[in-house]
Amino acid sequence: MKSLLEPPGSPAEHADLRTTLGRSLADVLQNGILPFVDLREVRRDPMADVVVVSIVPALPQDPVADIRRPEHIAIRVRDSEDRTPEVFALRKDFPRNGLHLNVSDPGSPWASLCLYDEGWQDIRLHLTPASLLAQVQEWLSRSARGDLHLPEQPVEPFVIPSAITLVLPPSLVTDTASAPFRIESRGSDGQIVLVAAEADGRRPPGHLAFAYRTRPTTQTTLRQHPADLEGLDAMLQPLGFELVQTLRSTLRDLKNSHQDFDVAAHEWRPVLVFAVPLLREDGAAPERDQVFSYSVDTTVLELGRALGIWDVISGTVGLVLSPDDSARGQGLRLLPLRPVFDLTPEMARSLSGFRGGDLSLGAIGVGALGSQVVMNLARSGFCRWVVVDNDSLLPHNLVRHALPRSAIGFPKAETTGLFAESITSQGMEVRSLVADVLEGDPKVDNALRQVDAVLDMSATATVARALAQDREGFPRCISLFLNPMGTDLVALVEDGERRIRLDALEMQYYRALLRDPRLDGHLTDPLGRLRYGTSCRDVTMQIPQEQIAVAAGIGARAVRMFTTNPDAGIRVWRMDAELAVNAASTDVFPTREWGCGDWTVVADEWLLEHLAEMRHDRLPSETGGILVGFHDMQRHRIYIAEALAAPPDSTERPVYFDRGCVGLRAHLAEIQRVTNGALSYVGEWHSHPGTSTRPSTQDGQVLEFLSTHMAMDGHPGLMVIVGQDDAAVFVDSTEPCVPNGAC
Amino acid sequence: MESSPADGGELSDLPRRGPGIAALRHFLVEVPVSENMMHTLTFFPLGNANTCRIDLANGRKLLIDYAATRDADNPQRIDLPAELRRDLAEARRTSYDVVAFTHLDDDHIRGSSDFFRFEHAPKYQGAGRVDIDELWVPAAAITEVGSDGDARVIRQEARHRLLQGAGIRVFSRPARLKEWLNANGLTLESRIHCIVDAGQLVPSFDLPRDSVEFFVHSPFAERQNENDVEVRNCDAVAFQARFTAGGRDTRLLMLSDLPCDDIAAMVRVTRAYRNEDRLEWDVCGLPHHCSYLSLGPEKGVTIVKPLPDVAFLYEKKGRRGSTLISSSDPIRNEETTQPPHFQAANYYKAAVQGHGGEFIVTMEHQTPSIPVPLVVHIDALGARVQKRLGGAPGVITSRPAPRAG
Repeated sequence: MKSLLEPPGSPAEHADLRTTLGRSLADVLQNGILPFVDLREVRRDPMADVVVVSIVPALPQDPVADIRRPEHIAIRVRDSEDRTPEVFALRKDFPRNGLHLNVSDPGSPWASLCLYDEGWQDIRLHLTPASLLAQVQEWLSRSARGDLHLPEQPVEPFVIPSAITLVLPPSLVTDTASAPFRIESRGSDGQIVLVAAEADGRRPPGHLAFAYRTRPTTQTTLRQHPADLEGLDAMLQPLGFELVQTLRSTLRDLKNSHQDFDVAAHEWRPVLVFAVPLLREDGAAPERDQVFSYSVDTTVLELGRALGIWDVISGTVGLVLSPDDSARGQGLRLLPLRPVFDLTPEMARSLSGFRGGDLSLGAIGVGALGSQVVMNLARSGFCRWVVVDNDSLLPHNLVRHALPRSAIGFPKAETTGLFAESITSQGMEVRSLVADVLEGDPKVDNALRQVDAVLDMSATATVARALAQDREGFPRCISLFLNPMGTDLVALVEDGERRIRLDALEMQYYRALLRDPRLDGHLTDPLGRLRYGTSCRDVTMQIPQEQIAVAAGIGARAVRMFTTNPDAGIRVWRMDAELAVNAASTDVFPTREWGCGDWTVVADEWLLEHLAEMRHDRLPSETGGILVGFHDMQRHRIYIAEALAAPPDSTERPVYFDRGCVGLRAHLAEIQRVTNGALSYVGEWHSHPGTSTRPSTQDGQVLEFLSTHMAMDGHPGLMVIVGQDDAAVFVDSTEPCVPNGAC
Repeated sequence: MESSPADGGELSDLPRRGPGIAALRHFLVEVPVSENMMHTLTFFPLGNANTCRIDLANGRKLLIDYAATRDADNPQRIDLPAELRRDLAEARRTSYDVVAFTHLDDDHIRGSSDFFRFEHAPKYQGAGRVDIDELWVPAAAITEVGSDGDARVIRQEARHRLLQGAGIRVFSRPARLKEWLNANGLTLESRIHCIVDAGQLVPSFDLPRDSVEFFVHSPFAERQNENDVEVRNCDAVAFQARFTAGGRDTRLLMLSDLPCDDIAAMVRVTRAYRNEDRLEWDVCGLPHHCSYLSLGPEKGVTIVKPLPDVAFLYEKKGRRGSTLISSSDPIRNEETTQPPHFQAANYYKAAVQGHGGEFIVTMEHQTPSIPVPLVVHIDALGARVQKRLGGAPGVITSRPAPRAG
């Protein structure tokens, strides 16, 4: 057929086929059980079997690419069967633009379908003749539908197969004129990787790269690799790029500017890099660059000589005055490289599948958990950090820390910052501050005020309370900490407006420990110590790194999750003995505060609702009980976390209430055990059947009793009276405390 | 050397390699091209018999005819009830929004009385039966006399629902329907909400809500009143469904078993009413298992010469890249009395090739030895027949294995 290209090789018989795959392809096609595919012929070329088939793809009525029904396809299997078979489209007008094709070898007239992302060693494990044909059919069907690429991936149609990868600095894309840069060869013989060298690169740079941008084009330029410099020159001509002139000028400048040029030129091997801005249509802004690169199979010295710009006379390189224009690098062979760009935060976000915005974060405390959460987030593209820690890395930290041994003795803030910065080649902005955040250093506070969210991963609840109460103008704060056993990770998350702060969240978290059976044993200390809640959040000494890694993984994800919405939250993740992780979320309630002289009483709407319900249950009688919470003596704050119902020996009457005491001490002891001492007795509550919350004479006596006895511990007397509409709070006085702006 | 499929996720400057194996496994799931919108038609291989399921993008399901024709002599036909039940189970449903019986011939209704729940008699209400939310029948299905078997059951059900005045659409209103209603103490006016005439849209669906509308072509008035006795094929329900997806509209023409004279009349009437666009088709369920009688009066030696109006329908109204589907046995290149007739197939092939389309026979798809349901996806790029090269386990496990000795 005239519309078809001659396939590779020449006609052959089935018996001439030499490869296992080639023969089995022909066999399965001859027995005719496969739909949509017909054997056309088999062929041989000097090195390979060629099986020619026609394949019927599933075409939509309005295909986005000119794929036909059927397409003629040649499958070439090398005799050595040591690489992925080549699959060629034979139709002369088979579309080239926008399809997923390999860049062909010089002189190859066929479009080479790029079918697989895996290496041959992986493909051959599952490859069958039918699966190969199915893959070709799917390639055609999907290309016709335009969804061969995964969603949101730009179409980069041509694929450069090369054994040698070249890692380029991302700035190459933006720089209009790059100076020649050195490249060092890393990797092994099996996998050579060329990397743009750091300024202080330790390996001897073997290559020198010359990078150029051409003018934009709407066409995909690279369909075939040029075999030599002349071919490259021809390929670049349509882009108005004068390769020979440009190289001559670059080399002359290099010679004139480089001190040891004569020596280095003997060693350097030139690498050429081209960025071609691609336009979707004429007049549009360039959407992306097509980048391709070649290693020239000679030295810089010989390249200059082949371009006629210098001569070597007794070891000295001498520029010639008027270059021989006929010397255009004829015969200099090119080796295609596979260019990739070094990592940027944008790439990291994309590769992590993270579509969120680019938040800046403050990290307070980069110990075992903190360092690993920071690294996890930095790897996923969080690139603006303020890291605060005043500790230095000691040998025992290495068991559960992100940092390597070489960081021993250095401040964790600085080294973790450096480590995070080193993940991407550019774009990380890390500010490390060796300081204790509790000291209130203005430099630290000001830095933290600039970030979008502060992660408190310190080993003490004191930091959380300070962030909640002593730091105005801070962004929302998130506390991440482990329980003493290291089995549970806790996240306390302030809302975006900071209406519900870490100190209030802490109390609601303690209440959850009392009420949520999923959190049984949460604060149990393996050594049986009473630790006053989570005031000390360092974990026991015998927790393996993998447990921290699980927590740090969840913690990083939780930060990503919680920062995408403005709600406050309390969540505990628990890993059980089967290594299953379960999340227990707790509803968060708005904070209520009352000012009482130099004291502030803090509760939340759940607690008030709870009191109202207990009152309602006993109407028309009064009822009451004790209040459980926490005294912050430093800030003169009394937190009420829980209210207990009347003990069974209480007397509840319409006009009075006598609070009994049966079982009360045991109950309180249990609360202290469950919260590891964080919650204890803070006061009394009782109800009035009517609307009045004014204290009676008797109530005044109760308050006086409380004040007197609580003073022994240095605490004020606290009493709450619950009426029909609201509750009134009293601290050491029958004057009610004043609500602070409500919720 | 080979790195992960994520390599270069959004690296707009990176040469990319092909989709990873993981991505290729996604080929097993058809991904709609745009707007997440895809309708699906499924034509089942049942010999010379019809069943087509329409799965709308919004989840509604219609079944056009039901013919459970698989038996010991015909093991290559699909086990229709099993196939439909599997699909319903996957969709967590126990009913169809619509079941249409285009007419009551055996090859369009066989086994219905074992599969569906019918409201008119407890006998047909056992566990596991499939509900019909709305039943579509031609008027002849109400008025015909002397039915038996499945046809009688469907007739009784249709009569029951029409008497109730709910859960039914009756297509056309011949005088005999009015008489039947009067004889049952009802007026035509009292049941007018159940009746849809040719040239109208079926009110059960509308474009904004369902992305589909159904335009009724047959039965039509031109042949209604001359009828003393119902002729099932001539009184069959034919319709055009217009689907929208991603800004494109795609048209399905279903012609049941209409003979050529009726198709010609349908074309003439539709053109006379300036509804020519209602004749257009991207997918056409061609009539009567590829019988020559649906094209023209003469079989011809190698190819049928169709009536001019019929030729107009296939040659001028098929859209680019359209698909003609013959619900029939494989086409044999030899003289046969029963359809499919190769002379008719030759005409259809030529006609559809004229607009770059395909002629497909249900019992030949994908291969005659193991026919599989013919699946047509409808999305922003129009209609596309699914073609699975390979996938042996899926084919093999979708039906019983041959008996082992």
